[in-house]
Amino acid sequence: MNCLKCNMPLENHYKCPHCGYVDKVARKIIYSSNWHYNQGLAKARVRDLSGAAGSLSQALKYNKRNTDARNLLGLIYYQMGEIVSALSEWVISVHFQQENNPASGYIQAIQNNPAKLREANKVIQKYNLALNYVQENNADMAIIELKKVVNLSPTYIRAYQLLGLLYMQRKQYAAARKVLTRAVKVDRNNMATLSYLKELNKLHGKPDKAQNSKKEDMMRINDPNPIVIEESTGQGYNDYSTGFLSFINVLIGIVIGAAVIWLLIVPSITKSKAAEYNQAVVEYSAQISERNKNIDELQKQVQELQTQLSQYEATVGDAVNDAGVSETKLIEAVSKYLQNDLEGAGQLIADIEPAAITDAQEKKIYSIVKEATKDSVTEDMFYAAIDEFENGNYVDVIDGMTRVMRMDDSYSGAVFYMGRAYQMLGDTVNAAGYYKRLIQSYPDSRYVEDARTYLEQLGDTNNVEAVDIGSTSETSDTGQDDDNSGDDN
Amino acid sequence: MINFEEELKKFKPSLEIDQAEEAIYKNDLRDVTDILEDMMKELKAAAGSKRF
Repeated sequence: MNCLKCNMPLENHYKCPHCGYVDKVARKIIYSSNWHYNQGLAKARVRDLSGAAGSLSQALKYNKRNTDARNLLGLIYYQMGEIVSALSEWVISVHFQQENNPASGYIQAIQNNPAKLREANKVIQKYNLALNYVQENNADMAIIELKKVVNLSPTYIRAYQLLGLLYMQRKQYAAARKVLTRAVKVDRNNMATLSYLKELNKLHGKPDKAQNSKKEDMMRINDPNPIVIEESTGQGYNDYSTGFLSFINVLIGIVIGAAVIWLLIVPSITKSKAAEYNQAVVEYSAQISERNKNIDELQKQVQELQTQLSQYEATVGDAVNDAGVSETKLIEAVSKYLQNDLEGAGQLIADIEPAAITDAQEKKIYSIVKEATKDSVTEDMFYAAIDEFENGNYVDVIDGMTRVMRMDDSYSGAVFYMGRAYQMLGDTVNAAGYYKRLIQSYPDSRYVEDARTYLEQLGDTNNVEAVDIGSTSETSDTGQDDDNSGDDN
Repeated sequence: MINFEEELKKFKPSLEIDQAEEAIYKNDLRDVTDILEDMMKELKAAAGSKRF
């Protein structure tokens, strides 16, 4: 529309922006359009979608450039599941107002989500398919498709209505009521839905709730006069105690909080405690294994000590036995000595190991008897041992020469034959030891040269020490006299 | 009493996405202003024909 004064286009204004002329007709038209837009907005706010769509369409009939009305109409269509209609309105809106138009954002949002757009198109295709089934009198298939449609698009009013109508036609009134009730929740004052529900109430025989409740609020008064119906004075509203409701809310909050603690916090605490317990078990296991190890070591030490003790006890026992035997022999020797049997006494003294006699008094007696008898028996014992050597009884040689050395350590020949006997037995160490003892302690003995010869035969004996023969004549206090005994033989 | 057959006939197929352009072109965008302009044009045309 152009200005009547300057013929410039007004474009959604009743006051000419060029000459300032106010076009009263255009003003009335724009005011009427805005009034219908306000009506539509008010209806949309209370979810009367079809009523809002009607008012907004009316607003656009007055003024097609009313962008707010067109955008809101698009939103209403979108909410009702009519996406193509919504897009149409928004595209036209953008055509009339390119700048600062929220419809651009709506279109952009849909274009940026092609998956959702495809899904919406699929819903439409299913609805159209269901409609084809209806036209082919295939209500069963139509119901199946419509169920899918309302599942995919829960605000698709036309699908609800068609589904409800089909249920009603098949006398499935409960299902029809359920579907139509859901449609009413989306669009409260849709005339078609409400008419179907009304028809459903008639068919299903369910009285209107409002009428029923109103009848309950009436009472008939028995009176002789003509019947008068009066409204009862019962309270229309219940006044709930807000304090009680607050208490209930607090109680519910506590229960929910406790449930959250039980479900979220308690498991984590239990888990951390279990981890601590496991750690403690590991530590205790390590300590137990370490202590078991210590116990094993201590048990080994105990066994070793017991072994040593038993060995010690055996050694002590042998020593005690030896001591006992030596004492007995000493007593017998003394007895023979007192009977003037010097040879018998000397033989017994020669059997006694000097180290076995520990008592000082006994040692003294041993020395006296030994000194008194040695001349009587030593020489015979020496030659007897030599006889054994010639017979090849080297062990007896060792025993005999030992007895000789006990009785008289000046017999260098006894030392020499000890070496010889050991050499013949293959004990080179003891043999070398006795030879070295002979060479060191009896340098003037006639056996020294032979000892050196045999020592050389033994090979390398540098590491071998000379044998200590002091133990054989430990208790002897006669010392070395000369090497006549044995040397002469 | 509702006539189910008649009611079912009222339901029309929905437009699919690829039909949106067609729907836009078919949209009747005439408003009261357009009607008034047409009326004024007719009035002017009528007045012009009387003058001649």
